[in-house]
Amino acid sequence: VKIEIRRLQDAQVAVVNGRLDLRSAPELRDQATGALAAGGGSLVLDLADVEFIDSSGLGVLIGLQREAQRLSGRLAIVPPRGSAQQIFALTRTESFFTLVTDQETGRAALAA
Amino acid sequence: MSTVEDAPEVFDGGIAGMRRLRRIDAADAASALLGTIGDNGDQLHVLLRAVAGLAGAPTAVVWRRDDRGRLMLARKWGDDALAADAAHRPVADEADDGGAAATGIPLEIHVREQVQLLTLHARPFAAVALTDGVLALGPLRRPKLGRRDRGRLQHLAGLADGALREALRRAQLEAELQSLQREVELSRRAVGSTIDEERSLQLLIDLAVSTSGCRGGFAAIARGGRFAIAATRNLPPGFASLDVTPGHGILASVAGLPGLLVVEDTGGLQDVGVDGLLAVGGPADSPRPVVIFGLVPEEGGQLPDDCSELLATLIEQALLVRESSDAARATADRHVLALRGLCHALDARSAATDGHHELVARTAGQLARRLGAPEELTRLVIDAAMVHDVGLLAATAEAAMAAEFAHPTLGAEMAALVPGAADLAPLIRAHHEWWDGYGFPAGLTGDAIPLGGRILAAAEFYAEMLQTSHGADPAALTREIRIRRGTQLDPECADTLVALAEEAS
Repeated sequence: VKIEIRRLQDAQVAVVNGRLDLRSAPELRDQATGALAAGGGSLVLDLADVEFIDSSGLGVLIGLQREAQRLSGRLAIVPPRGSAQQIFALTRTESFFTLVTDQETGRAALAA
Repeated sequence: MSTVEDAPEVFDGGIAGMRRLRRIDAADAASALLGTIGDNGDQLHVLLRAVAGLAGAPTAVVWRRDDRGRLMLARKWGDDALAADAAHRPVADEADDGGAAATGIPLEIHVREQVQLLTLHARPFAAVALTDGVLALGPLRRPKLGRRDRGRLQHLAGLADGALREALRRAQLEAELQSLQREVELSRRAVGSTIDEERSLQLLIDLAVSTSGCRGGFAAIARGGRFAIAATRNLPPGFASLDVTPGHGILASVAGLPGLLVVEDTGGLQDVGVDGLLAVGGPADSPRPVVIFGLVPEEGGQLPDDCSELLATLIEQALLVRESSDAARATADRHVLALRGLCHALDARSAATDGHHELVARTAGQLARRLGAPEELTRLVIDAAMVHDVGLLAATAEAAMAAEFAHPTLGAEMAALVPGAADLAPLIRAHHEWWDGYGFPAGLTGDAIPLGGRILAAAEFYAEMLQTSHGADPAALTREIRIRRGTQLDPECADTLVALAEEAS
């Protein structure tokens, strides 16, 4: 997995590439938790180019969402473009997360 | 004098096998025949084909003598229409000559002569006596056999006899094994539907893996608060030993998100060689899952587009399987309760036996626990104790003594037929066996008696003592137990029983 942390104006953005599975989940958890803290509890997580998310990847996303709430911030997720986005429907977590169409919409959602 | 080459064909439509036979070295033929007795396939069929080939006969039939000396069809090879009559007994014995009358077969073929003629489907066959049966070869070109042909057939039968006997013995053994397996399968079905449940879940996970294009997967089902992996497909060997119960390390449920499962211990799964796992629990609207399906993707693989529907369907099906097996178990439980009711009624016939089954069950449970028996065996012993004398229901006033000796067997047979009680049968059967072999019905000795049966025997002895005059005198009770230590009773059971009796007094 490749994780790139960048800033989009005042927002902290993490762009993820590759697969979110047992091998990559711990790395995503560490890096994204750091980015979340750097963003004052808010983060846009761009998963548009993620090919696959399993139950460990989903566990990391839920952990991040909880951490953002704890820090009184928000987590906005750009879901995968491909079939990996099914995981949200499959697990009925579409309404649990703030799913946005792109990074810009995500930034706006954090500011709202 | 005719030579081998110009000897007439004996069999109609056959090859010149009998002529060839003359030229085959006896040892070679015997080893060729014995060589057909391999480990695989239908040996008797192969052997019959070899014998028919050596003789040059188009059809061969063999009958085997059963325990009562009756000749029963064992196997036929060749023309089925010709051998259609073979199911009739070819030789009438003293008790039954119906077979002979029906087929026109000469009587006592195996007694008077080694080779005779018999008629199958209105065609003449040569019948040759074997040690354990009769071999028929045919059809013959003419309904008569010359001295030379008889000699050749007898020679062939002599060569084939040992091999045929071995094949017949194995065929018989195989038939017995198959019948035993059928019985086991039937009793498993009767016991409940655990096996069927696992089989159904296996089918579902097989379907899930092949449809999703995943590498492997598993199905787990909740039993007593824990999840047991009921079926796996293509998973590393270490996987089946993992505890997938949510909150027990590997998987976790998420507060506020019913039905959702996430992987908690990524390292634990990677240790057994799994790099990705999609786990879904069901039913989706339940706060606690009842079934869990897990799919392990191929390296670099993705989820199919219809994965959601697929998993939802699987969970729905798994819940149906679960429901029906629960219903089957409930039915089985009711049958067992009915047996208990019968035993209760049996005890109530006399004041001396009132509450006997309950007392034996209570004692057996205490004994089993003190002896350190696993919980499963303890449960089994208690359940068997609750119905151990059910065979006495078959007793009549006229045959009370016979029923006393037969009741362990009768009771075991009854239990074996009752859904949910089949596991109790071996214990019921053994509850009158003695440690030194002087018990009944089988006269088993020591460890050959199942532990559950030994415990049951000790508990029953104790209950009988308590329910008779000895119950009033604790010293007499322990003395009676000690006298029977190592003769009637398993020494360890007897010691534990003494301890129990001393505490109770």
